[in-house]
Order: sequence, then structure tokens, then C-alpha cells
Amino acid sequence: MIQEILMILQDWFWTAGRDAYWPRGIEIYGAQVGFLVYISALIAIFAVLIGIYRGMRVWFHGKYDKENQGFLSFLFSLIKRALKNLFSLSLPKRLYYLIGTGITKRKSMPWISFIVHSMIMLGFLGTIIATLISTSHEYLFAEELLVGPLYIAFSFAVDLAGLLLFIGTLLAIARRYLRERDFYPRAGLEDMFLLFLLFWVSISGFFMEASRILYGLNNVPITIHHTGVILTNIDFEIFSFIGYPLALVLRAIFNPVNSQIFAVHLFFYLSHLLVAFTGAAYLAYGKFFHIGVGLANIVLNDMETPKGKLTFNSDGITKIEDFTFLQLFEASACMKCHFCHNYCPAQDTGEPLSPLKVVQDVKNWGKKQYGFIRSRKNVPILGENQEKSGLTEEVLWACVTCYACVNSCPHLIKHVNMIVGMRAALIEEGCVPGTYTTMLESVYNYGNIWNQPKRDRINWLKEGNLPKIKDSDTKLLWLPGDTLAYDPRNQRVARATYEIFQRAGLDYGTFGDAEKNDGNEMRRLGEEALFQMLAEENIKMFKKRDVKRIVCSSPHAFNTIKNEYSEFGGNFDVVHISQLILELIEDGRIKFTKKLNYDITYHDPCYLGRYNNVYEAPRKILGKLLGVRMKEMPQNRKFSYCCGGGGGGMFRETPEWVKTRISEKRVIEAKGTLDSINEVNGETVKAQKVLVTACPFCTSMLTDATKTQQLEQDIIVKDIVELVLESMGDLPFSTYSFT
Amino acid sequence: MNILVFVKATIDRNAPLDPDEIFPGDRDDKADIMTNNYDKHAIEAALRIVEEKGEGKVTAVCLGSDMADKVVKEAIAMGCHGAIRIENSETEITNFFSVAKILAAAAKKIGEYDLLLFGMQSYDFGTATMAPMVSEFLNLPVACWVEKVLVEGNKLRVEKVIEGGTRSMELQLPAVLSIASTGDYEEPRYTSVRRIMTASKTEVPVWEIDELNVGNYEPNVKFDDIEKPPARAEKCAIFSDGDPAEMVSELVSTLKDKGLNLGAFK
Repeated sequence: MIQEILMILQDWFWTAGRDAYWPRGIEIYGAQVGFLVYISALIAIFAVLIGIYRGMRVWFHGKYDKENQGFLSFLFSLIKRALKNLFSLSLPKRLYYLIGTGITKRKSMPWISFIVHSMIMLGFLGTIIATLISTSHEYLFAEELLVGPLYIAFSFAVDLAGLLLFIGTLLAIARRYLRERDFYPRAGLEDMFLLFLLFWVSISGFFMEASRILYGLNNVPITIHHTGVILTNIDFEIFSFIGYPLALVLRAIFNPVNSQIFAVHLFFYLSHLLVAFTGAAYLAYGKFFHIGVGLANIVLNDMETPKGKLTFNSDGITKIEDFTFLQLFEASACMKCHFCHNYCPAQDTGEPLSPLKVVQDVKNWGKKQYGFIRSRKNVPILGENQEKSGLTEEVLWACVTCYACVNSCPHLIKHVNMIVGMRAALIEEGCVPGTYTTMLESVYNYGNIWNQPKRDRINWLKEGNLPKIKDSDTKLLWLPGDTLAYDPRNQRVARATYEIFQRAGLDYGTFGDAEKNDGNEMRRLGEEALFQMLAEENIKMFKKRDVKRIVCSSPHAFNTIKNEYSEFGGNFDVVHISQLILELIEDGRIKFTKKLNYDITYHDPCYLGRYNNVYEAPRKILGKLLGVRMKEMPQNRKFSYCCGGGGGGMFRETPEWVKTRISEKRVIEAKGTLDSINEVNGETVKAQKVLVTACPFCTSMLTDATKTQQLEQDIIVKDIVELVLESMGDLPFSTYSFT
Repeated sequence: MNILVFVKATIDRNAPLDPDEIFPGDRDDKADIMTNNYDKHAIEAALRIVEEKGEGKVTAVCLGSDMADKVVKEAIAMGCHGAIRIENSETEITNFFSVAKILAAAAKKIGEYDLLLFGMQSYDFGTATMAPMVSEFLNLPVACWVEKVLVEGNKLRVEKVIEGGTRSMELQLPAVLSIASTGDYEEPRYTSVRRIMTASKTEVPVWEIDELNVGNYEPNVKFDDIEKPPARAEKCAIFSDGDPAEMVSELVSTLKDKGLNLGAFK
């Protein structure tokens, strides 16, 4: 018996082959249909080339690497960059993006997204490769390639690819138009059209295969008798695990004659052809463009620059020619996946800003100015054309630079750089909301964002002496920052930090009232000249006092000193206050003695978490506190929500179209999380609910939000420093050593 | 359309207060000087009128010492096409009558103008007299606290603030206006640091008062001295520790000692 099965298998293996089954004499796909194939292929190739040409017309009107660089030398530098990137340490990261894993950056249901996309991608690539192989089987190898085991493997793989494409497109359609309609508000007809193309490719492919096999079943059966087993010699087609059963089903239901089988085959063959070539022609237009451009963008993209370092055209972007080549290239890679759109807190609160729309607007404006032949140079994208291009002032000022969009983009598009570049143009023109004007002028005149005199900077300190950096031996500089110095709520944080440092016996120093704003917000508002002025002055001050290490209370200052001051020759060892406190705890210089009774949750500041990946230091501190029950909010770590205070948002007047502010949404989320702590424990002990954060802007914004949402009685917003001080207990100073 | 905007240098609101140094010329530090913030609304109005018209020139005129250079250049940075500073280093003329006479003479010397704009008042003295006085010396129509300006050929339609509303007026050009800090020009445009840097390199012509043919500009009002008010001797008493009932009775008795009428608390 076993021997017989082996024989059958052997028989299958060696007689298998790709055969049309119908005799050569009645070949239906004669010269006419062949001609049609070549014509459609030519049209498709032509369409793709035109599309690429059109894209290139826009891209190469962007800025090159250097001024006055020639086209060829720039092209050469692009190739050089691509090769350099491919042979650099970032290669694994690029491969990671290549296989579509960037999609797992999606906030909700990331793995389902990844699976559906992978299905379509594998199905798409698999069917294309299969078509190429079977074509070469017929024309290059005189039908000698796909025989035996190779054919069996091939037919299995093709059906698998077709099945993946079939299920993938169905799932994608269901997600867009049924289940997750809210996620894809801008999906529109284009998605439907393209998904239908792919869907029909798989359906018609299966029917073609089935009708071919059906003809074979009807006409070529040569029965071979082994002992007790009846076989036809095309049973090996069972490895076409969709086509073969489909053929059997068709035979059972319709029992068609040869001419009917031909008709069915012809219909599906022609429609397969039409749909496949339409899809191919569409490759360089719309969504499908991401297959090529997205890939190239992943190769060309700069992955070495730290996230916190903003690179933008400081002259301001007013027209297409002011964008860089790569920015326009990135914009073409956008396939409206909606991740940034759904991730953007400004969009979530009803602002007109959608990062997706910004990128699409830039792309479309480029296409509008540079058509197939026509070119209109230097047409402003802002100003008088802002309504037409869609990039209005409200859109640009609504951005809180929380980096959620860049963080979520599977194609590494840097929306923030584009937005800030355009903001720089608005700054240059003076089209700035009044509240920003006051803030920026205050920074220029008085060196702080709060429009307060310099001499009041250390008024927060009621008792004691603030050590000066020049008297410090360790040259550890503490930068409290403007908000800690002037904002009444945050002055409590400043005092708490001061006391912790005193009790820990830390040797440190400050600039006192000579301190200046760090400039992070100025750069995010596009006021590059002011940022440079501040950065240069600060670096000069740091160097004059020979600062060894800097500790910042504000993540914003931390970000800019760490990532951006190096542009102006300032390389400093800089830490955030939470990192320093963690060090002090681990050294045993801070000891927790008092048991608190708090239910807490932690809000990740954008500039600490998403920008600089400091997620764990604050959490480790919170884990060491005594008597606190911590629970994460649904949106935490890299998916953290913003407080609405970044990128100048702190000074933005809430427009009338915003019903619930970003900070209010966050506080409501925190309330839900904190309420559920008690539910889980089932305890009757009533603990104070505390929303902890580590950024003065967040503290201020969230405190205000608890007031406007009438949650003051339920939730207290605290900086992590205040919690640390409370937990250290009320021991008198003398029990701590002073060094 | 040629517009003259008159700007003034004042002591910065965040600069330390010193009754002996109340004029910009007395100070050494440029950081202590700022543009009179009401004048920024006037500059904004001038720039917008010119932008809407599509042609014209805005010139900023300032009477001040070299400390006022910053102010003139800020006006250029904001977008004024030119600026003139009238040197006033030694005497630091601040009397309203004298200043108005000098400014009127300067306008006469410039000659070509359609509109003279002022801020509604100054940040330091706040007399709000400059626009009417200059209009009187030049014999021109005037409207004060203007919120809205519409140029119609040779005429000017303005809306000015009056108590409880606005009043529409029509003026014949050339005219003098003082611009309110509310309404259309409420938010003066932001001047980027880059523009300030560029403007700081421009040369601003300096005129001497003697060149202006002012005539007699002796002040008609004199003031003797400015003094800081005496520091308060009394201090706040804060009751924060202890039993609330005791604290209240302590508070009441302290207030009684001060001779306060406590009404029902007697």
C-alpha cells in the first residue's frame, strides 16, 4: 500500500506540468488577443513612465543639497547617499520598514493592520512574480521550466498568493467602509477602486485556473489502474488548492461543454488582463505610488539625525521650490494610511490641522504647478493662496509639535519639519497670532516667555540661597527654566526641586537671574533667528562657567540642549531632572521614608518621551515611591497623548471650533484610568488621585484642564519632583549630610 | 499715498524704576528702551493702508536721543520704508507743546504727505495730545482713537471710538489720525528677529532741530520734579497657624485696633 502511494506520488511529481490541456489546433488566443496584450502592456508602461516623469518634475524643483548644485551632480549625490544608507548600521531598521512593519506604529489594532497589509503585499508581489514566471515558462523555456516538483510548488504558491490577495482585499474593504469608517474618513473612492482591482485580479485568476483544469478534467482523462486505485493523470492539479476544487464545483453545478468553458476562460482572461494592466498603469499615480517611492524613500531617508533635532528651511517655505527634494519626495510617498490623521491630538480636538492633509496639500500643490508640460514657477503656497492650497494660518498654528505624526508614519515622512518651515515664512511676514507676538517679543527683550522682568527670575525662592554655578565644584548646572521661575503653579515645583537638592546634599549651581530661555519653543514656532541668538548666548554662558553637566527641569530645554545646541558648537552632558533624581535614589542620597496614599497615573511629556525616549526613568522613580498604586493610561509611552502646550500651544488662544481642549481630553482619560484603579483592587480605602507628569508645561496645562472640567476635587496634577519630596518625609534638614 | 508715522521711545515696562531717569536719554542700557506700544498700532495701520492701496510709502519719524535708534529701527523692521530721527540728546524736550511744534515742523520739511498717524497715547505720560496739537499747527483735519480707516480717493472714511460705541467720520486728505489700540489694528504684526537684524544695519538720517525752522518752542507747562512715592510702613499681618476660632478673633481685634468699621462684627 505504502509502495503504491509512493508510486502515485512519484507519478504526480514527474508527470506534473503546466499544460493548457486544449489541443494546439483550437488555440483561442491567437494573434488578435496577443496583440491586445502587447498594446495594453505598452500603454501601461507608458503611463507609469509619464507618472514618474511628472513626479520627478515636482521633486527636482525642490532644493538640492547645496546651493547652485547641478542636476547631474545632485543625482549622483542621491545615488551615493542611497548606497551609503544601504551599507550603514541603519540597514536593519530600513529592512524593518521595508517589510511593512512600520504599520505596527498604528495606535489601535496595529497587528491586524500589519497582517492585512502583509496579505495584500505578499499576494500582490506573489501574483506578479507568478505571472512573470509562467510567461517565461512559455516564451523563454519552451514550456520546459514548470514541470515536475517545481510546478507543484509553483501552483501551490500561486494559489496561496491569490488567496492572500483575495482575503486581504476583502478585509481591507471591510475595514475602510464598514468597521473602521471613522479611522479612514478620507479613504473615498480611490481606495475602493484600487482594492476592487486587486480583488478582481485574484477572482479572475482563480476562475481562469479553474476553467483550464475543468477542460482538462473533461477532455484529457487517461485513467491509470493501480490495484484498487483509480487516478486521472491531472490529479496533481490538486496542489492548485483553490483552482482544482473550484473546477470540481463548476463541473458539478454546470457540467459545461468545451465551448462554454472557453467562453468563461476568455471572459476572465480578458478582464484579468484589463484589471491587471489598469493597476499597473496606475502604479505611478495615487496610492500605488507608495510601492516604489515609499521604498526609495526608506532607502534615502535620513535615520541618523536625532528626533529632537528639527531640520527645516529657516528662510521659510513660501512656495514649492523652498521645500527640499526629499520633502517633496516624501510627500509623494504618502498613501493616506491615516495613521497620522488619527494620531494627531490637534485633529482629535477639532482643529483644521490634519498632518495627512498637510502632506497631501503639499503634494497636490506641487502637481498643480508642474503638470506634464506646463510649469508655473514660484507660486506662493501661503499668503494669498492659502485657501486654495489648504495650508491656512489656522492649520499651521494648530500644530503642537508633539511628534505623534512623524512617530506614526510608516514611510518616515517628517510632517513637523514641513509645518515649522512654513511657520518660519509666517513669522517672517509677521502673520503671527497676537499671543505669540507677546511671547516672542518678551523672549527677545527679557529672555523669558512670561513677559516678566529679568530681575524677578529667582523670586520663587522664599528662603535659602540659590547656589551660583561659579562657586560649584562639580560644575553641575541646574536650569529651572522660565516656567518654573515665573508661573505660580510651577514655582512650587522649583521650590520642591531646590529642597530635594538641599536634602540630598547635591553640589550644583545656577545662573540665578542671568538665566535665559533655551529657545526650544522659538525654533518650533519657526523663529530661527531668535533661537540662534538664544542658543549662542546660552552656549557662551555655559562655556564661560565651564559647565560639566546640565540638569533641566523642562523637557523642552533638555531636548534642545541635547539635540540642537551641537549645531552651534555646544556639546554638553545634559539630563532631565527625572534622570538625575533616579541617579540620586540609586546612589542612596534620596531615601523615601513616608508612605503616601495615592492612586497615580503618569502622563508622558512629548519632549521627554517621544522625542528623547526617556520613558523608564520617571516610571522607575514612581515604582520606588511608597504607598502609591500606579496604572498606565490607555495612551502611554510612544502613543502618549499631548497636553497641548508644546510648539507654542501653551500661548495659543483656544479657537471657537475647539470644544474640548487637548489637555481636557487628557485629563478626562486620566480620570477614567484613576477611577478604575479602585475598581480593580476592590478596596474601600479612599486614596487621593494624582496625575503625575514631568514637564512644567504639562503641569500647567493639565492643572488648568482639571479646573475647566470641574475635576479639581477628584484629581490633583503633580510634577514628579513634588511627589519625590513628599515621599522623602518631613525629616529635619540636619539629619541629612551636606557636602 | 505717503504716510508719516510718529513714534516715541519710552522706558521699558520691565526696566527698573528710577525717578531720576525717566527719559530714554538718561539711560545707558539699550535694553531699558522700548517703542511706545501704542505707536505699534499706528505703524500697523499705516502698513495696512499702504498694502491695501498697493502703492505708497511709510516713513517713521521719531524725536529722541541716540537711545531712540532702536525704536526707529524697529519701525523699519516692522516694514516702514524709511525713517527719520530728530536729534534730541541734550535737552530731552518732553513738553507736549514743544514736541508737537517740532514734529509739525518736521512734517512740513518732509513736505509730501497724505496722512499723519499717531499712537493713541504714550506709554509713559499718556496725555494723548500729540495728534490734535500737530493737526492744529499744520491746520489739518483730525480724528482721534480711530479703529477703522477706509481710503476713498481723496477722502478718508474713519470710525473712531466714542463712549459706548463708534462714530463714523469723513475727512479730507491730508489728515491727522491717532490710532486706537482696539478694533482693526488691535494686533500689530510680529517683527521677526531676522528683520530686526537686517534693519539694524540700515542708516537712519538724523535731523537737527535747528534745521527744521521751528520758531519758538518754549514749553508752556513746566513741572518741577518726579518722586517715588514713600514706601509703606505698614505691613501685612498673616494669620496662618493655629485654631481657626482663635485666628478669627485675633483678626477681628487687629482690624478693630486699626479703627476699621466692622459693622455686624462689633
